[in-house]
Amino acid sequence: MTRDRDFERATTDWLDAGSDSTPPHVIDAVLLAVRTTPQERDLRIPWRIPSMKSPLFAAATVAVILVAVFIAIYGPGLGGTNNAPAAGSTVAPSPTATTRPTPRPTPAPPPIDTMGWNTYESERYGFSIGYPPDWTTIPAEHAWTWARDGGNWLSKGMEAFMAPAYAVRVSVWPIPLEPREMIDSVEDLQAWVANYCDRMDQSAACTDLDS
Amino acid sequence: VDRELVERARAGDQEAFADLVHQVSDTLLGIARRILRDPDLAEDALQNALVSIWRSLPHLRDANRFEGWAFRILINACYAEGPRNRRWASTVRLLGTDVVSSADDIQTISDRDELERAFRRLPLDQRAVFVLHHYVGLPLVAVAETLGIPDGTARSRLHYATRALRAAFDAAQAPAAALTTQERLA
Repeated sequence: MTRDRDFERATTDWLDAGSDSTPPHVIDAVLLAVRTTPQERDLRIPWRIPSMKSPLFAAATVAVILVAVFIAIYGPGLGGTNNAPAAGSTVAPSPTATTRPTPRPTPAPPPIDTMGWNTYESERYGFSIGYPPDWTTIPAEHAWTWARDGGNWLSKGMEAFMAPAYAVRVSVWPIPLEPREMIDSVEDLQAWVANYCDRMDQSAACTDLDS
Repeated sequence: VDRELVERARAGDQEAFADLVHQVSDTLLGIARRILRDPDLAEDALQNALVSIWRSLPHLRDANRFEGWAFRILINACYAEGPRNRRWASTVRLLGTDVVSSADDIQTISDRDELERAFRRLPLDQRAVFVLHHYVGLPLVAVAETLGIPDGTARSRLHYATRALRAAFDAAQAPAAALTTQERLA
């Protein structure tokens, strides 16, 4: 019993040792960052990139969204419950078809109603994103890094969202910019995405990326 | 924590948030220092956590739960800072110049040194549970809720952390016990 008490006293003394007064420069840096960092709106919105202007984020990050259509990778067996042909799948021609329908312009898809969506808050990466209520969220298990996760489109460093029957996966993760690298325009962003895809060494997966 | 300050900061009031920072920063820094065992990393984690808290405040539903919510953001910031420590940081320790006079003082230093080494060998998730329970004083159920993990997981992490520290403490005690026996025999 004495040993137990000694152990408790020793751990308590050891934990309590030291000063916890926050240095003024730490608070100043935070308050300076707050001045230029907007709060996230508490709305159900698709997604946003957090502000990168804070001096705290010298190693700035860019959020990249990747949409991987799994049905195109694994074949139509994972095609979910609807009967529409899946993206990337092929439809065999009917032997009885004798007439060719007149091509008509494809109607624009109806706007997506996001009012009923849930909001996912990523504390790890500091963003929020809306997702349909029947999708599944898979939180990131570690911070994304080039060394560990570069080249892995299904890395556990990504916050991931899966549609029913795993038909679609949306992944979100931050990627550090190089020192002094700036993204100030859409062209810069497109160039950065192209470079990123090259570094990932799987350029085919970047096809049709829309920045 | 002043609930009204939380409400005002949540509505975007930067002055209220500044007051809030002054209220909570010492507590948060204390937790970060004890988890990371490195003052610089702890300050980085605190800065990142506070900015993240500012950004995310509109999502906080209940101002009364601010403290636990802030702890969780801080712990995640500590997890993010931790790997940097393992890869690049070297540790420099300043030793005091005071003359230690008694055997008890020497034993105390030895105990702390062993506890420190053992704690640094623990994974960050075990450190977080240990600090929230023993330093902050949260019951294990509250620790689990704060970290967003099942109660059993929190209990398990605390068990492993305590076992490792206890083993280190016992190892530090052994030489002293042997010395005492020799002194008696002499």
